[in-house]
Amino acid sequence: MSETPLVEMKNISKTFGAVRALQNVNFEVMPAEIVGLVGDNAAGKSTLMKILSGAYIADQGEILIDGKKVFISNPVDSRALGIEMLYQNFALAGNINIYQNIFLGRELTKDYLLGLFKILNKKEMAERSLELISRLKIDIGLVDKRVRELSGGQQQSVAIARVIGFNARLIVMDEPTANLGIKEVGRLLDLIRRLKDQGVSVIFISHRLDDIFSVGDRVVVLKRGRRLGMRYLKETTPNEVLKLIVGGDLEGEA
Amino acid sequence: MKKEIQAETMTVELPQKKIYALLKRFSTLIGLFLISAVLALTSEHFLSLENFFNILLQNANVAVLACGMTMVIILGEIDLSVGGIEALGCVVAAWMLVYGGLGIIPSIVIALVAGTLCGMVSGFFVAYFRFHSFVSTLAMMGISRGFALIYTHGASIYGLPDSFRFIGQGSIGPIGVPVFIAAAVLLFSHLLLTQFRLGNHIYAVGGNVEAARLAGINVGKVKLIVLSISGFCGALAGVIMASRLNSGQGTIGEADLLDTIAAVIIGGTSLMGGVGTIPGTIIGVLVIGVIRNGLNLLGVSSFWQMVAIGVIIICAVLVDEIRRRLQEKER
Repeated sequence: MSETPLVEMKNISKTFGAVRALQNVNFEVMPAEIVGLVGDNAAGKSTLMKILSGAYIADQGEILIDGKKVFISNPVDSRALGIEMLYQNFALAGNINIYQNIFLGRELTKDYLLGLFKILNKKEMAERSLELISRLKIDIGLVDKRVRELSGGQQQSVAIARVIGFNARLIVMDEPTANLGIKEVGRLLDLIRRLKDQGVSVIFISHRLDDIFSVGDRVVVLKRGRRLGMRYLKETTPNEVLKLIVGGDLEGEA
Repeated sequence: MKKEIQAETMTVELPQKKIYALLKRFSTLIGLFLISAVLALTSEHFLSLENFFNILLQNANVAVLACGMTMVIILGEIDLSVGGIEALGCVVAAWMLVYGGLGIIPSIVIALVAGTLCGMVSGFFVAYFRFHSFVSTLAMMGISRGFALIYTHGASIYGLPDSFRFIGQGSIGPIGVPVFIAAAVLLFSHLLLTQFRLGNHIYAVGGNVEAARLAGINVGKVKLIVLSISGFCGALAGVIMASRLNSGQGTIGEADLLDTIAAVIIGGTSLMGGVGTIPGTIIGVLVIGVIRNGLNLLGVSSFWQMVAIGVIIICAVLVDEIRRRLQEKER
């Protein structure tokens, strides 16, 4: 491993009141690598990733990108560094439409009166959203439909369109396959492979080891806020990983 | 390609459903016409162009207040201080003109700044100390009206220059100047909500605060700005009132909070946040204005009018609730 990791999280700790959610966790992702992040409930997977996306701030530890130390104190910082997160609950506003959600927080504008006024460029946002969604091969129809009117699967597509639409270098997906049918899971895994081909790294939190084994390069196991171990998927079996999750003996890392 | 998709969805909709949707969309407007029709039949003075312009003039200050209130309620907050800030704006403008020895424009600017600052203070506590806006604006209601009464010693400030009257009493053609001011504020607010990033963020925060935050929106800043805008609107309404009354009075606008919230809710803005438009608010203001005007023409006392407006608020929220439940059933 002479290559510099794309993202390196070192000695991350986080407590919520009396709960120690994370204790000295190390985590790293290589460029164009797909890493599965697994562990029981309350293992700290989502917390670790929310620290990376700026939703939470770590009490301790540091984050390096391309080997350089960075400070991520809010979601704007992490987006600016090329990190996008697909949240488990999608984090969409149901009362506004599809393209408004996709471009939320980074709306496209047109300058008027020498840049004195920046007016929303709705047409371009709508067109680009339509393009992004068609890339996902999912039928939604009009992009000015309110997100509230969409089905769960369609809502997820909007959330996915939002994370792939902005030249991310790393996409974090929190339980992306949890609520999908077999066909949709296949489509999502294809998408993840395509992202890897384009040089994008993906961190993939899941309970379903099958999904991780079918697309992943590596898997990292957390338990009760600690890192238990790491395996290259080529050198391990679902059984071994499962034992690691359930058994939880702290083994030396590969 | 987009046109094709549109055509497709159009054919899917059944004609009855479309009519139903149209009815739902324009229900408030239809209500406004029905109320007007009833009043036209019961009062011979109601249905005249003169009375119509009079209604517009009488409600210009509520329309201005309702602009700020619409944004605040879409955001999922409430502003109880608009009446107090209106009184403060009225008094500050009058005080600066009479005792401050300032010109008209500086006096107005100072009044507007004072109102904006009041909104900013309540917004600051909402944004950075997680106060509920109900609490911080309730406090600001007391503070602003208190100052308005302190400045006037509970009496009125008279002796405003005649040239100041134009703002509240002047007219262009048959239409009063306050109507034009209100129209400008309404237009500006509409554009802000529909064409600017801030508008987009207001809807997003009102719809799902957490999603807005995760999308990188500075939620506190949005709340601070919107409550400041509402404070500005309050002071502007106060300046209009100072000119209309040709005096500074700390007691004005006590009924305006009720009318403003009623107008905004009748206009279809949901108290749950995330939903609302300025065109809806315009209709809401007209409904309130027409009802007040009609009750005046029919000789109903202003005390009973307060009761009537209160009952209308309950009805409007009830309709909103029924509408929402129907929508949930449809899905």
